Amino acid sequence: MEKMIREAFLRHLEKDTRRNFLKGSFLGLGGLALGSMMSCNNDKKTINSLFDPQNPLAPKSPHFAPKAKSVIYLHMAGAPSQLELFDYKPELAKLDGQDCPQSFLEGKKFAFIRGVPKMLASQAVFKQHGQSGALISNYLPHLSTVADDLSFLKAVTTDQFNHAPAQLLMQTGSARLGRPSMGSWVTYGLGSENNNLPAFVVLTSGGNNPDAGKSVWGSGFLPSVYQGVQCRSEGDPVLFIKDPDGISRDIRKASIEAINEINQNEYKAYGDPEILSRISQYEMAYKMQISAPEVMDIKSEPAYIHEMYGTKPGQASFANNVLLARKLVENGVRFIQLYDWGWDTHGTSEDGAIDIGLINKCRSVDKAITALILDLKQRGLFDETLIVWGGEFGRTPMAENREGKPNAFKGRDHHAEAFTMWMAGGGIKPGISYGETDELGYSAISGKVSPHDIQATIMNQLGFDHEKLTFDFQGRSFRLTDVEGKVVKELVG
Amino acid sequence: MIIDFLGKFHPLLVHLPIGFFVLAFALKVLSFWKNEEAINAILPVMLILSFCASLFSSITGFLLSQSGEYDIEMVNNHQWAGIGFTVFVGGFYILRNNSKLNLPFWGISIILLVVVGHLGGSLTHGEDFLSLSTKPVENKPIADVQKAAVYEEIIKPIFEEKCYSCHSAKKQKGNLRLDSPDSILKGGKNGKTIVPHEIEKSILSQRLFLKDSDEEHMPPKGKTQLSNEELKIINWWIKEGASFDKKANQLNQTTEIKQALLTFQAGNVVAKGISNVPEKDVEKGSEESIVLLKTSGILAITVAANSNYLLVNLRGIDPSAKDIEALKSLKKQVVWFNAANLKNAEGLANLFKELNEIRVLHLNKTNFSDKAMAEISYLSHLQTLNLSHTLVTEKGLEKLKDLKELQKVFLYKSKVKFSLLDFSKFPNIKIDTGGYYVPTFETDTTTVKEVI
Repeated sequence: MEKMIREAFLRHLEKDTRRNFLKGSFLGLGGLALGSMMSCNNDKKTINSLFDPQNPLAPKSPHFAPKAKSVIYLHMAGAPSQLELFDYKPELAKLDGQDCPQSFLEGKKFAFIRGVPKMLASQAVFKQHGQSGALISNYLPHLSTVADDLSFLKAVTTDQFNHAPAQLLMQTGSARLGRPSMGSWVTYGLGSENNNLPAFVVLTSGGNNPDAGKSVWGSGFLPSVYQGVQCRSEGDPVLFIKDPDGISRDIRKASIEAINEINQNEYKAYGDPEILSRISQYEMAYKMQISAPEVMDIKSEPAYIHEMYGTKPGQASFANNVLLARKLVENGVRFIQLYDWGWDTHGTSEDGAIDIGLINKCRSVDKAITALILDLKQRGLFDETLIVWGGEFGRTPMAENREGKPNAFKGRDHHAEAFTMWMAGGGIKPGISYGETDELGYSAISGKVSPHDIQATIMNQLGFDHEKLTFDFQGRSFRLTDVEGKVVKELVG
Repeated sequence: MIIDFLGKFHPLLVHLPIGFFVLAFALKVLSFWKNEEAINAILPVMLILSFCASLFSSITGFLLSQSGEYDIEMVNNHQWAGIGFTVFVGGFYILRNNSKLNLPFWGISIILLVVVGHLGGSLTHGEDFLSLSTKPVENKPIADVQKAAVYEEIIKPIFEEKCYSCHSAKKQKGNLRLDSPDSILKGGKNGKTIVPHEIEKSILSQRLFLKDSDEEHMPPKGKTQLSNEELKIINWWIKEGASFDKKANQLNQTTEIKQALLTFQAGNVVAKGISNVPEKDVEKGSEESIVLLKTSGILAITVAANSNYLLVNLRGIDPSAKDIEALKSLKKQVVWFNAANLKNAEGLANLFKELNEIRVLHLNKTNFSDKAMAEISYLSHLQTLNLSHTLVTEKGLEKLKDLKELQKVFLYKSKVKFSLLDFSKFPNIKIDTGGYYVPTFETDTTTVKEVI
């Protein structure tokens, strides 16, 4: 202990020694001079007015009156096959087993398809459902019963055909690392209405984190207080949330206050806003010790709710996460991101077969998602909660032929040119199907929607003009949709 | 080709003679007070610069006018005024030492400069550009869109608003005019604007539906774009034969078109939907009250940065007598009220007598009961009422009968016995009884395996 104190003391002194200053400024001072010489607007003040370091999570008003107060984003990591779920293509069935036309292959790049693959008919049976006549396959029998509440985007197009960059593009607006995620932007813009819970919560299932890793809920260049808080769906929702043995609540409180006081002094000495983020995170952690165990515990839900969602408390599952998401929305959490891993159906294994593994994947989410929609409805929260469902790209109408040989099982390769997503609640017009793909489901022919358009639409429902929610960084204003994005007007009421 | 290209420099070059000559004139005026000698020494340079710039402008201007995209009469006036100015400035330079001619030269040149500049401006920006009123041309509202003449009352106003500035009597970009049926059918230099019944062959709809970023997209970047409804209606009109005299109800309509048409009708509420924030803004709510509530942990914040209306979230905290007073002082502003999870929601009852601007009210998971329901009937603007998990029964709901704007009531896990509830009493309210159920199918728990 004494040694640690001494070390801290020395570290502190180091800041003031001449040698250290010179050492540190070897590149630093020159760089500083260079920076000010090269910068053309060095007296322009950085205005990130939405960020108040003293109280970074204070509630804020959006640009215009919002339709949705919360978002539950259900990301099926790995990319589910639109051709087995929502995009009905009878013409494709006629070509089943035939060589893929050259026009589909010329100048195109695929992740695994090589040479000339065969066309592959949909393995599912489609039917129209509800008054809207939405086409949903027999892979999702429960979701079909709430078809009229959903609105489909049938021609989503991305420009990334590998998982990690495509996930980043969908969630952060850029295929490269370093940008803040959608939830971080929303938290930055709106703060938190809830004092005791984070504003942006992330839940994962399916046995793995999404391929792009934690960057898909990272805060990028925004202050780190806005990053997503990942909670576990098994055991304690947050690790170490209980007080350690032998330490009472009062001692805990006193120690956090002491830590924060030290941090406060550090802040006075160095003025680094990240120190304030740290302080507010300590405070949040303490408050979460009180409210999180209660909110995050799905065990307290009545049996009929478990029956409805198909949840089994204690077991890690997507369904548990969905039920948890509903509880979080009820408690004013703004943005809840669910990642379910395992939708990458290449056909190289049984689990990755579109007629085996995909069906099992669908079964693991179908009932819970349907229950979520109905449960939010009966609680009067559906109108103000936006639900978004989708993957990071779609799948090819051709069967995958890895290394030019047919795969062991029926599967499809990554496909960036057209896939389906849906939205529901949160002021989205229900029962709409927007956009169309060609008769084989290969490319979008109308109503093309990009990830930036989807982000713009989500921001719009939350009351933001996506072009105006910006953060100044490295000399320019950044925004979630970068220089693109158009609100999908057909979907917003 | 090269001629067309050079002509495009005209809009750039024209600013030079204006600048040079105005500067020369300003210096001349200045010379009456001071620096006369120095200024007189520099004036000839300014004049020759003005002349040269003016000459080049005239040449490029002539080349540009050959494109035939402009109104001939206006181009003529502009052209002669421009040539006049050039000649005058040239003459002025030659005769600059004749002090008698000095004053008339200055006067006439300046007048010519103003005239040629104004005419040029009118050519590029439209004749009505230089005017004080900023009001856009308002179209006559259509009383019944189904009885409206499609071209005259719907299509023509769209063209007028979004296309005429480049494609009418004033200007004919691409040799196209859209201001009469004949000229529409005649088309422009790229071919037929409209081929009745055939959208694919109609250049008009091709151009309108191109990507915004496409260079050929119409209207071009920076100009007001057509709305989705306008696009749909134009396509529909072409598909139905592009008739110039038929009424809307004489043409086939899908539901989509019917909806799009409705947006052109006057006082169209259906398409807009009823907002849960009043359209007219109010004055700012008392800052003092908002801060007081904040210290109690109660959130009161404007629903949007551009509005003074407030949302209140009690965050499950039962308000003190002081808080209640503070809330009452905000009665004009509070439109959304969240009292969920309150221990004693009954205590709020007399508050609702005052806060009658509330549109959305969440009382879920509270002890709110029939006793307090009478106070809800004061909320004449209420649209959404969440009573799930409360003690309210079917008797309490009677109090909602006179609420004209109420649209949705949530009663899941309330004490309402639905068998005793007469739904016909609330014809305009969507009552959500809850209790939804998702059956468990056998397939939900079984796993598919490979068939060997």
